[in-house]
Amino acid sequence: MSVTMEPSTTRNTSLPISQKEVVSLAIEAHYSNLQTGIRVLVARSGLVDGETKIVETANEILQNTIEVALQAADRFDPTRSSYSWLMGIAVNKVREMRRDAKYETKRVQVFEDKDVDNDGPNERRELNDNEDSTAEERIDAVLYRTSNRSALEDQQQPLNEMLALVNESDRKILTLAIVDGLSGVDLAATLGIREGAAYVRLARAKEHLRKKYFATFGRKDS
Amino acid sequence: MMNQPNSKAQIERSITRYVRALDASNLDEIAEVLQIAEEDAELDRIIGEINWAYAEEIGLSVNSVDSEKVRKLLQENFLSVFSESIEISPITVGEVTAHLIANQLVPPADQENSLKLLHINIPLPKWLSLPEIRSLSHQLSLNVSERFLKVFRDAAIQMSMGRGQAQMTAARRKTSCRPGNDRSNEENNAK
Repeated sequence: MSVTMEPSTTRNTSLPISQKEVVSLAIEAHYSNLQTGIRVLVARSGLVDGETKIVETANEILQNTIEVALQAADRFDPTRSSYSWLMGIAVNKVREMRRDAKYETKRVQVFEDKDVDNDGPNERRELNDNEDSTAEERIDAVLYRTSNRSALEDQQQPLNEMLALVNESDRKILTLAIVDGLSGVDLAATLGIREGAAYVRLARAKEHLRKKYFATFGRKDS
Repeated sequence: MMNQPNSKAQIERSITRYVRALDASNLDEIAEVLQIAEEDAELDRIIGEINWAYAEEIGLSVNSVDSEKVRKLLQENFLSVFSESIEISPITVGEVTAHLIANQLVPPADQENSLKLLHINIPLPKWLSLPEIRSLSHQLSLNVSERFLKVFRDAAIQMSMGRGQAQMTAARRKTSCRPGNDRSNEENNAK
């Protein structure tokens, strides 16, 4: 984000501050990011199809978000991150529109998990909550503990077994993140992509690993 | 509640949740991660970056909008009251410094140098970005820390907002006193 609200000084001042002006300043600072985020939300939610309709609907939601934010300015806590607060308002509007029958008929799952390579039907099944959390725990035990350099040697074998489950592209980014300890800007620079794209690719690689892990080993505690 | 930074692992989990939720069109999950991000400035920033990445991926990127243009849009569409321009003297470097000293916001290392700013009556730059404040600092040949400049910038923004509020109040008064204004006519008739 190009501009952030600084909470500490906001809290310490005795000057009269209009909450509406604080919110309008936040909107001003995050305007392009809001526009972008709302377009993504609309596209991903499957509310409408086609670039023109997505942009039109996103603009409508952006306007509504700004109106709601200014109306609710008194409830805004300036010590919290304003972009996520504004995006939260937009998500509520998208949810409301999805509930609306007018949009419900148009709702389609337009974005399949297209980045999962060579996944068979077993691998594509949805995980339930219990499986989900258990998978996370098992995988995290390897992934996050190996972020600790001293524990890397102990975890090398289970890590290699896990990395063998995913394709080359996912293995590369997971190795850079886990073995080499790269993240954010450094990971993006190594891959020659933008920071946000690096986070998306890494998150998807983890998700692919999680799915492959379950498809291969199933639930050990069942 | 204050922004509580999460651990690196917690942030990574939230990022994975957010990307998974976007890929699965799961709005409830997206809303939950955004709530976590409200309390974590780093996660908030990363979510912004992720949204840009998705926008590029699906070909819906937005060109950066000039701040001045956004301000104008907001004023025209949402805050029409701002359009009444009432002249109030601009805030000066000395006023902001006095505010910082009074509120004990000056970093210890900068206390001596900050006293030199108290009598400087130069108005603040119109756009209170950190680079503008740095530029002002160079113009005044100041030897202060980056922390001081940031605190100065924040206080300047708040004071400007306070001044803006005063302008709004003055504008409302001016509008309500105009001949032919319905409200003032009603008030006059009532008298």
